[in-house]
Amino acid sequence: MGTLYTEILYRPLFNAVVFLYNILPGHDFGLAIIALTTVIRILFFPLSVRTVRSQKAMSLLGPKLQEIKQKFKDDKSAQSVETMKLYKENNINPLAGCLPLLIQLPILIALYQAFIAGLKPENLGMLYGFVLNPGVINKISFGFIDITFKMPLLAIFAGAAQFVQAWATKAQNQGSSPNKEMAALNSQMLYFFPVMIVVIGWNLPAGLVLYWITTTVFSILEQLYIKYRGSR
Amino acid sequence: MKNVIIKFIRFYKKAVSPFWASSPFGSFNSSCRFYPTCSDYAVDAVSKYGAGKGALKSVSRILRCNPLAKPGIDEI
Repeated sequence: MGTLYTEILYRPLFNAVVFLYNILPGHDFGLAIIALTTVIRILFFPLSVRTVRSQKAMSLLGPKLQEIKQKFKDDKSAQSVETMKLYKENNINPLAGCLPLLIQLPILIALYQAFIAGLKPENLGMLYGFVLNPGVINKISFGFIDITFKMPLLAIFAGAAQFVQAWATKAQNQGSSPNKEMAALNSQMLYFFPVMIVVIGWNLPAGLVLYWITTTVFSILEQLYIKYRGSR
Repeated sequence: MKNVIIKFIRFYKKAVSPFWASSPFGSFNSSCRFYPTCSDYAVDAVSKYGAGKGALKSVSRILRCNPLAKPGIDEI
């Protein structure tokens, strides 16, 4: 199991980030982290947009689902037939499900580990034959960020990005979910999570915070795309 | 034990699951195929059947909640 994880997830991701470090101008590991995160997000972009759309449509259907449940209280199969019909009428295509979501976890951990590993020269032995060994990784990114060291300012920036993202989500879902629980969740996301991100990021190596900022900014752009281009 | 598990699931639902939106793989948050969602289902299962059987039922529900499953209402 351990070797499977290493060979399928951790090592390829580690090679990818070092490869990007080699080919990108300036030999900047921070830039390589941003690039790899962006590439992954672009690959998953179509899937992600469809999910967000389905989710939005789904949140509108809550009351109707309750209705079906009440109407066909004792008939499970009628329930699912009616639900399917409702989904079809509203063009909902629930994509992933909870299992794919949880499968992401080991991949996320591998990505995190790959970014950390890149910062230690002794790990460069894990490179594949066709990836040039850079010998030593330049720790300074964009001329002023030491990616191996904590950088509170960057953590505050990550918190700010998280705030903007939660705010965009809230704006997007405005009116679509009348239930109190969702509203409470949204306001919690708006104020609590950004603070949590700052607290967690405060002592993390700046390289990992860079990764967090990148993926959050991408989420914001995705929200904007859906808002302005993708109503259907 | 039962209450600890339920508290844990509720915590996950409130504090962890929204973070899926910032996953590098995109916004797969709340993409549960069923009604109620897997986390609500798990709370119901544990309250009804207790920690052991309830947890097993929850795991089987999560395994069923994949792209091959027919979406719909699936209550405990």
